Amino acid sequence: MDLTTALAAIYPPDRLLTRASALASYESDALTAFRTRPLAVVLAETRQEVIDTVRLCHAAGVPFVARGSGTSLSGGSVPLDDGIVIALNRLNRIVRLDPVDRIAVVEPGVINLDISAAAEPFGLYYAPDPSSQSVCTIGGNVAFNSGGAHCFRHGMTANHVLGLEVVLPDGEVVRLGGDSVEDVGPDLAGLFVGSEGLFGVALEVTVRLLPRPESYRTVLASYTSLQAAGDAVTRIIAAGLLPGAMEIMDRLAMDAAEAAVHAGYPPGAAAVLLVELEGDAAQAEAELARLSAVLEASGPSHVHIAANAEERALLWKGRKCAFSAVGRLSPDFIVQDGVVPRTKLGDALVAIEQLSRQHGVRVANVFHAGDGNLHPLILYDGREPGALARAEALATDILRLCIRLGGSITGEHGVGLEKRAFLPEMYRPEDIAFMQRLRESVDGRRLANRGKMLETPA
Amino acid sequence: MTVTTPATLDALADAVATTAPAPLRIAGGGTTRPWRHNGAPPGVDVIALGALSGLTAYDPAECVVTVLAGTPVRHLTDTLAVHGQYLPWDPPIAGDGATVGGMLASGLSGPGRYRYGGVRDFVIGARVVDGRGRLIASGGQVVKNAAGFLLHHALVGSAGRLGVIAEVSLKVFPRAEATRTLVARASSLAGALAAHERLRLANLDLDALDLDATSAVVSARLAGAADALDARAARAARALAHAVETLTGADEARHWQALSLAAWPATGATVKVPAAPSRLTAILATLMPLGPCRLSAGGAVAFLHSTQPLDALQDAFAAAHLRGAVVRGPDAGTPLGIRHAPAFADRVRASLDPDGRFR
Repeated sequence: MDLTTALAAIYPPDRLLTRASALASYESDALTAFRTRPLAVVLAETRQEVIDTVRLCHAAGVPFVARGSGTSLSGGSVPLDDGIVIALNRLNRIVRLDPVDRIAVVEPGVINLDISAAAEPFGLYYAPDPSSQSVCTIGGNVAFNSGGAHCFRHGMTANHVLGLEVVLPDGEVVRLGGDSVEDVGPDLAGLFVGSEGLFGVALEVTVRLLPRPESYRTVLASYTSLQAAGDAVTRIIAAGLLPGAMEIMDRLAMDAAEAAVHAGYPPGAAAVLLVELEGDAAQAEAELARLSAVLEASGPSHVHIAANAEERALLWKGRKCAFSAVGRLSPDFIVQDGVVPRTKLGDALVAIEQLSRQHGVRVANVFHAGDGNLHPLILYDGREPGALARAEALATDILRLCIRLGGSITGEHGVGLEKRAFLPEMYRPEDIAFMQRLRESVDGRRLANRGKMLETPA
Repeated sequence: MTVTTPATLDALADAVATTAPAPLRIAGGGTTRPWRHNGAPPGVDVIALGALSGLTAYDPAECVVTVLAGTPVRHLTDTLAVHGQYLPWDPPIAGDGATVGGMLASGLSGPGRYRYGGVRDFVIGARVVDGRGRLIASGGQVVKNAAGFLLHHALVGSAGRLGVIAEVSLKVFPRAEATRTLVARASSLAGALAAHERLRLANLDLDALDLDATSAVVSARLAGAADALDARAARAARALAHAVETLTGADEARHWQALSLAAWPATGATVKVPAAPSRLTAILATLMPLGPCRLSAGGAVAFLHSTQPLDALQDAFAAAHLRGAVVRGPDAGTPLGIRHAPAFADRVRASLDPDGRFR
């Protein structure tokens, strides 16, 4: 019996897609440069269906990839032409939300922001906030160790996942971790997070919820140079402050955001720095006084403290929409996701500016400054001959710059298909060889998300 | 038995490779498992990490430190303190030569884990020597990194059974300007639990929240700007609704030292039990007959010190459907009670230690 026939015994026809027209929307994810039509797509509705599908794939030796909302920016959920896509969006139940123990137990297809929405009546929220949080799913966040704007203080997805139920690539089901922030034995849930689907499929995820801070104080400082904004971040940390988030946007990104949402960013500034303090009201107020003094000394052209929740929301809306807003500036763009040590932000920005000029390609910068996580948006017009190649050449130079400065090729988007060639530049051959051994040990037939992270492109 | 004391990462890798395939034990400061005094079982070679000591990289402005595994925790915390920084999870075993590698391998966090997270939340990279003597790096020296498998996470709590932790990169934080601890002595355990719960739910941004079950004492620490502490302490005292003793300075430090699991004898078994606020009464009902116990991190974890035989602990944990592990004492590293299916753990271990040398 071939695999499709076997799958038809599990799934009704409307949840087993094999026709070209139905498969089209599963050919690629948010990184549209990669596109492959899979053998079939199954729309799973229960855990057992996922387990059975993985077991059938294993028996048939057919590779599979789990998929949520398809928002991967590294091509992490692009299928293989002889492979199966296991779509998990319908596994979207919040199994349990416990406001006393401050945890949520969710299925992998639950949308990131829906957890916070469900927790909101209890004064709780789920901290990791990737820019795509209104559509991306927890399963994908787990696979790629998603970040967001609050990682310096609050950590990444790995720091918020307490437990997992997982189907391994051979169909065996295991539990990792538990339902407490403290566990015993090796932190295997922490190892599973960020494995880009290579260790199997998460069936259930237990996340911790944080109490919503009593108070937020959000400050916008504008500068006449990008480097001055970067230096201000170093001063803030040196002063012993621990903001929840520090974000920087350059002029081009601000222009795009302004055109989209009129966030009120100051005209004429070369860069803005958004700093947000959070916590106990008295503490946040005391920190605001210290932050204001640090910012004044950092030579800003303008400092604005959000007066109320509406002003705060607007400042953030501009930042959160910057990626999509850049679409107004350019028909196509590549989002990079490299990381540099925070103290090297200034150097990195100067170098990116030089590279941009050198390649003749425009770059808009939006980034998580507190985390050293750059998000240069490399603008190009795909209709123009050679434009994509120039943009890619610049992207490559920026990744190598991040490695050279002691950082990482990806802060939160993952390696996926996009950055496979660069992982061996970041790690030594011995390190990559270990990752291969671990992968072989977990998935001897290399079925789970084959082609990603560890396999260098031909 | 041979004892090797390598002084470089290469020498460490070499020592592991040349002693193959003999079983190996890793000796840090000997503060969680007292091999230092007892020696290892016959036929087991020992690699001592005492000479693999020192900070490899530390830029205070970066809030990241990279440190060799044999470095005493105290040396690390002293160095950070010079620059106004600290390890926010308060490593509970920091004195007596306790090492950074042991801190990771034991996976233990102290009261400070309540606010910003535990050791698992601050490890951003590591180098480890596997069972064949290969030096492997994962993660890096930046706080945000999604490149490659996060092997360094699995080292937390690994009890020396995945490989030899050789070097660790940690995120560190600026230390708060001032701290203050409120101590309330309840007349009963139920009263202490109720006060503990009121504090936990009051959204006070506490730095630490512990409960000594045996004495029914609740301890809450505030940390932050000095000029905000009076107002915050007043709110916390109202939530406690008990007579409150306020501690600062040396008295405060002594109070938390006395509460630490390090204050229990290294003999017997110190047991860690992942907990949850909604289950505290049931968990304590199981643990209290076995020895003195404490709750830490707002009831996220319970610690027990017991002189009962291991079998009796196993039985009690299994009967109560509890999961735990001995974290200090001769049996350190022994899991207790219910266990997860081992398939993933076994495969991870096989990739690092195919010959089963780290037992």
